[in-house]
Amino acid sequence: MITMIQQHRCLSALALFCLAALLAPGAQAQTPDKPKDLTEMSLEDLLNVQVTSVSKKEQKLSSVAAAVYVITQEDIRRSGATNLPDVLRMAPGVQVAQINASTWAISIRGFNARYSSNVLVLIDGRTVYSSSFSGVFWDQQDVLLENIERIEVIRGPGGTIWGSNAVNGVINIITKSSKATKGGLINVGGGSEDQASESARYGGEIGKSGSYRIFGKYSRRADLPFSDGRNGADGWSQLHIGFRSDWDLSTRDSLTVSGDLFHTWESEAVKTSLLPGIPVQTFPQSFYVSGGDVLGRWKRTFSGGSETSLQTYYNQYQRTEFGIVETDKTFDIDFADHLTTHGRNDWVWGLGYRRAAIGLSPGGLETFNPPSRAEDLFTAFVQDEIRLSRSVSLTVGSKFEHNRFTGFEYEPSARIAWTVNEHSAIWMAVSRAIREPTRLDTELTAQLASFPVASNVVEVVTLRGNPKINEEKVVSWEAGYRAQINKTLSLDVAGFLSFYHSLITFEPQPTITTITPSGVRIEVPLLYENKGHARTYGGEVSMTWEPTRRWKIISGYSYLSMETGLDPSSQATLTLHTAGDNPRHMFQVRSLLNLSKNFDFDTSLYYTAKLSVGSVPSHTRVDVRLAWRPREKIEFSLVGQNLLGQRSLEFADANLFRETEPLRSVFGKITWHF
Amino acid sequence: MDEDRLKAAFLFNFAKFITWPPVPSPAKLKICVAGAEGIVDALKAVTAGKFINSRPIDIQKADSPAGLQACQILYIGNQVKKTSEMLAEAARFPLVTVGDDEKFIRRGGMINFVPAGGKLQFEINIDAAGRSGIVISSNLLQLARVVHDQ
Repeated sequence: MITMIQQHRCLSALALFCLAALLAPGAQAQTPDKPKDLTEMSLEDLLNVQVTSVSKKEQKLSSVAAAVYVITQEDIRRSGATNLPDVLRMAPGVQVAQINASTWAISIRGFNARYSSNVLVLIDGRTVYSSSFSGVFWDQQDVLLENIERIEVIRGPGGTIWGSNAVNGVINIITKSSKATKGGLINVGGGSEDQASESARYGGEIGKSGSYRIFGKYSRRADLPFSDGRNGADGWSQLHIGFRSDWDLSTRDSLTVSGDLFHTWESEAVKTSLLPGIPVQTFPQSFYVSGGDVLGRWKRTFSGGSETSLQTYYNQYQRTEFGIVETDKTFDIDFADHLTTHGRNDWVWGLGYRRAAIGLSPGGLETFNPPSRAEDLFTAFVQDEIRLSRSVSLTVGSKFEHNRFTGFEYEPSARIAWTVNEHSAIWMAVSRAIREPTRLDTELTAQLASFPVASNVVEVVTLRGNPKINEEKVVSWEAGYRAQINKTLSLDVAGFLSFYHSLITFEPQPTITTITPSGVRIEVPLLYENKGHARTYGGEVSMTWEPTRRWKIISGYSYLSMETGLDPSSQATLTLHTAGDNPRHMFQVRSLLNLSKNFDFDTSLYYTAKLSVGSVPSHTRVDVRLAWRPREKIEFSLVGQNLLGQRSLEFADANLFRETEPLRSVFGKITWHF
Repeated sequence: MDEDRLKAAFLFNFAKFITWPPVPSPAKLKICVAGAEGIVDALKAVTAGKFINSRPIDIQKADSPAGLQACQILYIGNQVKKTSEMLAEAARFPLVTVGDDEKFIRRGGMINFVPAGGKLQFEINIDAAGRSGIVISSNLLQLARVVHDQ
């Protein structure tokens, strides 16, 4: 049953792009609802269930596999989280490290950094990475948390369906249909760190077959301190408005249109030098981000489970951090087709095109040459799931891409799954994925440091992009097991072994000496090259235990071992640029307790071992939420975050700016539905 | 999902959000089904061992207008030929009628399934419910398309 729900829900996102659709057992394993019990489903769930005439799907779905974890709306509400990064902490194996009040480093299975670019993030099918470095600016990714239906987190390469940059995983944020958000919602909240978090939403019907919602949100976060206790002056605020409308054009066709507009006001402590060993000064710098997006998706469902979808979106933002004005305008169109045959095969294929125009005005310590450029990306993918027997299925497929930097690319994978019995499944997979170069890797010139070596002689260390840079590659081997052990306990275990090569390093080049009227300038250039490699292995375990109907305990553990190295031809002296800063162990346990029908008492504990580079010690975060519903439609909640310590450093090496430390905080909120 | 099972799950869920008028009612909550064998089987499978407001559930076939007063919910399949007659009879009792036919609401039914985009939605005629003294929770109305007498 759960399998089918997951399937359909997935399809409701961006149809066939949704890898998790193929992975329902994962969701099954960590959702301990009784697998066959329809009466446990809410009406909202039922409204979303896809009708198929036969139940063959159920069998099919349990047959393909990868490591997937689903964060539900219930998880989000009960976490007390006020922003997306804190929500993502709930997925085992996802490292979420706050760098300052508005910045996070988020990654899966290693390589975490401020500018990490190994995880693909989608909001309702819209890729939200910045094309300039193919990573995510988390301060720009605001979602009204009450709008989220669920978040699917896929660990491991997802390149076959999702394309390049889904190297280590995919985070797929899916919002509710506007049919499920009719009526009004008002949130009023504030606290010591989240000084303001106010939002309003209203939804209704349009004619016989349409529905809509509109929403607005304002949030303001307080300054955090540096490690020495001084104020880091990194407080920020954000305004976000948006809408979504869903239409049933016929019994087979549906149309979704959505849009957002946002603006942020931010500040941070920018460094004067980026090289280790050189005394660092910081100065506060204000900046803003302003942007928006509009998306349309048409979907046709055929009886028997086949479906076709066409999606297009336009996304634009302007960001003025570090004195650079970055303008990103992205247009994207994707077609996908899912062909369910009555034979052994189940095909999914698709075509896509994306044009990203990125402007990076010269400023600060970085320049891009040329300042503005547009690039085209053409993609196609095909995947076939073959039923080898009643319980074993094999899924093979590949993505094919053509990009401006490295030309033609392919990202194949093969997955095999064995449904042992009704309650358990075993899967294995091997896949290849790539991270395609970006303008940062190819067109950057950055001044990392400059210092006088003698009177009238200045030495300057620069970092230069390399137009001949190649893609970074990974081949990953994975295996997993998931089981519904009994009615109250479910388990999900996954392991991986990955080999990365052609990783980016900064290679010293011959010095360039120029004589200027003011003296001698000696430039030590570092050039982007592909001379690093890495081997990672590890795994994640998640377990859900529901001892009574009122109490649910969810726990997760992840292990990561990462060895990085330089190729023999490399002369890089800096540590491997892309390796990031990662913990070997992470552990979490969450308790969701209904004290009575009207009271929730929820606790979460997150432990992160010391990070590999060494400057960030292990830390434990404890959040507590108490909620009271005096009436059905009103909820008062009180949330304490980071309760264990006064403050705790989560990440260092913030790159261009200086990191601050998250504080212990309290937060109160009133939610009113009408 | 199999459409009959989905409808059965909806029927079960509807019952949670409906308040019947306070007339002496039997200990069991009776869901009657006209002309849809598949729904009967699905309902039995879905509701086995379940309770709604601590009332056990009884599933029964009801192929003629006679004997409807014992039902709390009546589902009328779209193959049924006497739909109008059954609805007329049902209207005499505090009974929630559910159907699956474009004309069902026009004929006086209360809740009607509407297929859309490969999923099931439902519409509720709030006037028809009111006439029978049936109170439908706003939680259910919020998810429905609410219609009035035409």
